[in-house]
Amino acid sequence: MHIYIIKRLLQAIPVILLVTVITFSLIHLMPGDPAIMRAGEDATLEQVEQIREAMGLNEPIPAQYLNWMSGLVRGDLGESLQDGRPVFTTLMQRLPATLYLVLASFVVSLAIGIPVGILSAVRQNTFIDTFARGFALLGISMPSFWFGLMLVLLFSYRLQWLPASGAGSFQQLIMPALALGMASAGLITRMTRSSMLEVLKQDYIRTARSKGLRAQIVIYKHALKNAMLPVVTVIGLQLGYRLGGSVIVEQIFAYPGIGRFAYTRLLARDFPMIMGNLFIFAMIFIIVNILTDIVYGFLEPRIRYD
Amino acid sequence: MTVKDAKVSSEIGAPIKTSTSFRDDAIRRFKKNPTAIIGLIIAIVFVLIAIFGRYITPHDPFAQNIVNSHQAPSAEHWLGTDFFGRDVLSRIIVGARISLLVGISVITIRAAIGIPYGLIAGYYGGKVEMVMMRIVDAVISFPGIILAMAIMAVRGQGIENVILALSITGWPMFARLVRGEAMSLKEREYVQASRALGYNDGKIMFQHILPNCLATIIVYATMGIATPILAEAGLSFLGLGATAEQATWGFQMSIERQYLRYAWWSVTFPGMAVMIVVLGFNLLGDGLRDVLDPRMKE
Repeated sequence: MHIYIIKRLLQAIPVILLVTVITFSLIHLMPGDPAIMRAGEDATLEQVEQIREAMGLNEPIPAQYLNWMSGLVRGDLGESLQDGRPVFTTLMQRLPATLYLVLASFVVSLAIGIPVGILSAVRQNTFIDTFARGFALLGISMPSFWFGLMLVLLFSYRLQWLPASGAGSFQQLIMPALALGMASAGLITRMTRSSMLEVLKQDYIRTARSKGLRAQIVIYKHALKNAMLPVVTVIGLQLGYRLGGSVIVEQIFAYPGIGRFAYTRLLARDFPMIMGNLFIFAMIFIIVNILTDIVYGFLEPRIRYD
Repeated sequence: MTVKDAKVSSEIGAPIKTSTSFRDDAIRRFKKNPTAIIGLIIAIVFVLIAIFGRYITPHDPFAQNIVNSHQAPSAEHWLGTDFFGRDVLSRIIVGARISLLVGISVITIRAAIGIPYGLIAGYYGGKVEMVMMRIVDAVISFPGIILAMAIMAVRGQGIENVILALSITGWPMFARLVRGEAMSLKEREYVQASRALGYNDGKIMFQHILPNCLATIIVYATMGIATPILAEAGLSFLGLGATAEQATWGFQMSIERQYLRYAWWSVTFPGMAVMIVVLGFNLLGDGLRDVLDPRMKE
């Protein structure tokens, strides 16, 4: 197991390096002069030149990359072009709200997806199954922002049960979490269903049944445990979609997270902020996927000998 | 005697028409699959609307008439009108074209990059594969939509840039899929045999391994058309996708969103159009999977 974890960690190092290269080169393809952006519309040529010098933009690209990297390893992602504030701190201030939202959306998709998926598998080819499969398909086919707007229309404008925007209270979290979690709820329903059907065909389930165990125990104790394995891997991969989806969903609900912030800074071409944001999102994704793989290694010992 | 000759003679030698071919069998299974049929019908209707859209709109989709602003659905305007008094149904009909264009071209470009990439990685294995797959891992680490947004911010609005941005961010999934297939297929006897016959690697990869991954690729690509359609809607909704002249469904929702409280129809129906099209391709993909790739069957 130790070897498996160490191997997995070593694998991540080149990926992280490549992530920094992609982040850096993407931003340096951008048209527009960071120095002019920072100096403002009315700045003189000398002022712009001064800033360009101070920001190290006159240096060759590889040197700039190394400068950025040397900051990075010290946890310094540079300063915003817009307000001069440190990128890392600014982003970290907004990250918790988004992680909170992402977590809530996972609760939504697991709380819907797993039970509906089990029910669908246990009652295969019945009306319940058809209904559950239809629901799952609708979930993955809806644009999340449209679903969010429909929720606002119904629960805020018509019924006036929930506030249409903002953050802080539980009521304000319900609709964004639903909007962000619905697509995965559909996906997890489908995965749980197919993986349950697979497991229910196995010999050990037949053995358990023929021993005279109650159906409930067979399903929840014997089958579910093994059926959850593929679902675990999906959760890690889903995180990327959630962080991306947060940009749109936060925009709709005026939710003060990192996604909405990233969007405004993207429009303003605040380069260091965009780079920092891309890097932090990619790092979160990499770390969570290492953790998922390790959990998977514990749950499924065969994988460790891969 | 070459491998090809051997195949022909065995076909001649085999009793004809007593066993159904894979193709006949697949078509038969497809016809018996109601979800696949529904998906196919939705996809065909969508393609027809995309092609003939401009000739079948009940009203001029771009003619502004502020007197008609935000009319509720009626016999004259089935799905109501938007803020500028334009017919929502007509605008949905003309929006189909770009949606389909984005879906198909993005999936084609993703496949064109991802398939050879995955074949090479899976076939050669070892260090080549390791380096190639770490690059894939790195691209996948970024949330696709944010990477696409950053590219859109670099290149500016417009549908060509949407296609570029979504193609760049989406190809690694194809690469992973094909690599997995190539890895298992390269151990098969017929691949070993072609290697023993001295075929070069390119020929083995593209003529012997690729045809045997095609079923999986077709299933994945059909379902995959849905993803760029959804992503384009999202980007255009955020104002980082289509331009006003390219009035896509996402763009329509983006400008009408502020009137949602008073005029629900001008946002609801374009979104429903996205949903139905995406649903159609998902159903078709599910159906094709059951038919072409029974291994993957639920």
